[in-house]
Amino acid sequence: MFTTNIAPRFRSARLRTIGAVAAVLVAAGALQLFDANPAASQTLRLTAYSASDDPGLDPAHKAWKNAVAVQVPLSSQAGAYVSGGGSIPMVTAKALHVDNRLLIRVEWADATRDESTTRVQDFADAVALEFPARAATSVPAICMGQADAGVNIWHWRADSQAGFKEPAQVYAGSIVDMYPSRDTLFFTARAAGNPYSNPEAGPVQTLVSQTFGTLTAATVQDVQGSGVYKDGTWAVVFERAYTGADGNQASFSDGARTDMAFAVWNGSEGDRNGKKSVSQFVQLSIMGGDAPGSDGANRMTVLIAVALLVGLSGLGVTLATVGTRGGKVR
Amino acid sequence: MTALPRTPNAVMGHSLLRPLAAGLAAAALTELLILRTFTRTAVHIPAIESMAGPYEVISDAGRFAYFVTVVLLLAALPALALMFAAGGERRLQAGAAAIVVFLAGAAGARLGADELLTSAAILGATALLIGVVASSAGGRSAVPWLVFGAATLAAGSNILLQQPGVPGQGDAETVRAFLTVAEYLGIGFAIVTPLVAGGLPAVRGQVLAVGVGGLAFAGMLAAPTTRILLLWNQGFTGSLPAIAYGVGAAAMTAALLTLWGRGRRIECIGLLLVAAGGMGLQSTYQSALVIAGLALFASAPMGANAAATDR
Repeated sequence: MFTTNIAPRFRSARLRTIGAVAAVLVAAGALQLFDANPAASQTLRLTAYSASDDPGLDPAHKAWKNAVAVQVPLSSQAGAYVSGGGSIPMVTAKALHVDNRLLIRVEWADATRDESTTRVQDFADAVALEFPARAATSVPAICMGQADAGVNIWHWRADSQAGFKEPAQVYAGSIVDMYPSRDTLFFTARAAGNPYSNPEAGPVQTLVSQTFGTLTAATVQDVQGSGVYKDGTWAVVFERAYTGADGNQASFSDGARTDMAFAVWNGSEGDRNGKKSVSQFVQLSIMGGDAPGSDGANRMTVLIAVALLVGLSGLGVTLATVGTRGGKVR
Repeated sequence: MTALPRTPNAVMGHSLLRPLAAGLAAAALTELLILRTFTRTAVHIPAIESMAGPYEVISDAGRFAYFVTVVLLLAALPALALMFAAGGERRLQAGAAAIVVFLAGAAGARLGADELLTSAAILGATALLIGVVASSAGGRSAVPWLVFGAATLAAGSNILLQQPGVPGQGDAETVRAFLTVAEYLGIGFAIVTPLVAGGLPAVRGQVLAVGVGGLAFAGMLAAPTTRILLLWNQGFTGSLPAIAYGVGAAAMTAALLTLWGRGRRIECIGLLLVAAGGMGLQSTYQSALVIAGLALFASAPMGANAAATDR
């Protein structure tokens, strides 16, 4: 009798458990199938507002004064074979958009202006932006992407912008007996197709990658850029049309959000390749309207946010204080 | 830990919560190991692209674990809020309010509401719930939670200060100061977590904790990827000496083993979820893990009371 009373209850409880587990798995499967992620990023947000004036590639243009700045912390990063980096602790980033073109301005302090790589022991200052090639549930690995999620990198180099220097400019007193030709054939890297050796390629190279060893120049090079060094600070502007040239390159639109990361190379510290300072992914948000000013609506939002944070935290501190003193909160 | 009087609904809710918490911990750890750790580490495997098939299967399994965790969080958080609301005490009702504010903030963030408001709500809700946990813990056991609360506020403020419209826009020095303070406090929290458990585990547990600490120390010392993973997964910048992270990992492992060994399973799962969620504002998913972990910790006295009632 005991068994006959208990067994149906047990079976019923087991069925309920199986049903609950199945419901969870089906719901999770449906979310994955439709790529419906209920969570949202809370990392640093770089907001690109519409600019009334087109700043072009001028980092000092007045349009940048009203752009919202974020301070993005960097840390040292190293790959499997070299280590170091980390000499640039932070970059200040701003973004704007004009006529369906995205502009991003990156500024960082650097005591030395390194823009010549003529000597083998010299390395150039540089900065890069990295975007996921396409939006997905999870962002790709920050280190050159991953097999199922590629990245698109915009890489500006000070030496590419400065152009080539004749050896005599670097090695004072050097004498070249005879240099028979100025043909491309005699510039071996250029002849081999190395884009950094091509004086017409410009200072920015667009790259795509889907993990280590796959980094390559994009088929279409359509990112413009220009950097200015002044008073110990580099300021570099990148510019590209919203639409990417192909599926491996990030595309943007008004109202869109995507992830992006920063990397800075400090030439005088020997930074090159994987030896650099890197950020984690931050969020890039492209807003349709103009940058917020100091109007009442914004002040009100800030006041409400401060009230929320201070009120809730204050209540938490009060509870903790009473609790740790052995008091009762009834 | 203070014993709390409970209503029958709250006690019944707690018994239903146990399997939910266990499932949540299993799914969250699977997600952490596969999606946030393996896929971000596998890029170091030479010629990984030649193993694209198996890699994508594992990666998809990690994403599935992520969505299972999301579904369980969506079930657990309202359940915990209802249980706290039925608990009859003001601090538990404050805990219920914190969960509701968090859910509203997370929903707002997903729907594109003002990010300053949603971030402030989520950070404030986390601070309030930490206060509830510290209040429940009382005495020396509250110390780690107070440190964690300060770390959370410092790390989160770094994000809040840089939101559009905030006066000053968080200059570089201020941001760096907040990050540094958060790093010290975050590691400090990990180091003092044994106070939460009220002791150390048995000898075998201590050996295991030291082993985990040694692995963390070696990882920080030898592999830069470890620092990046720590930044991505837990919000630490990795700027302190490697030994600090080793000691922190050992201490937290000791605390988890002590809680588990003493039958305080819900609290063990709670601490595990807090560790999986990390510090500061990363995503509403990671904040939800922290909120769920804190809420489970705060609910533990109700479970203890339920067990006493059963006897």
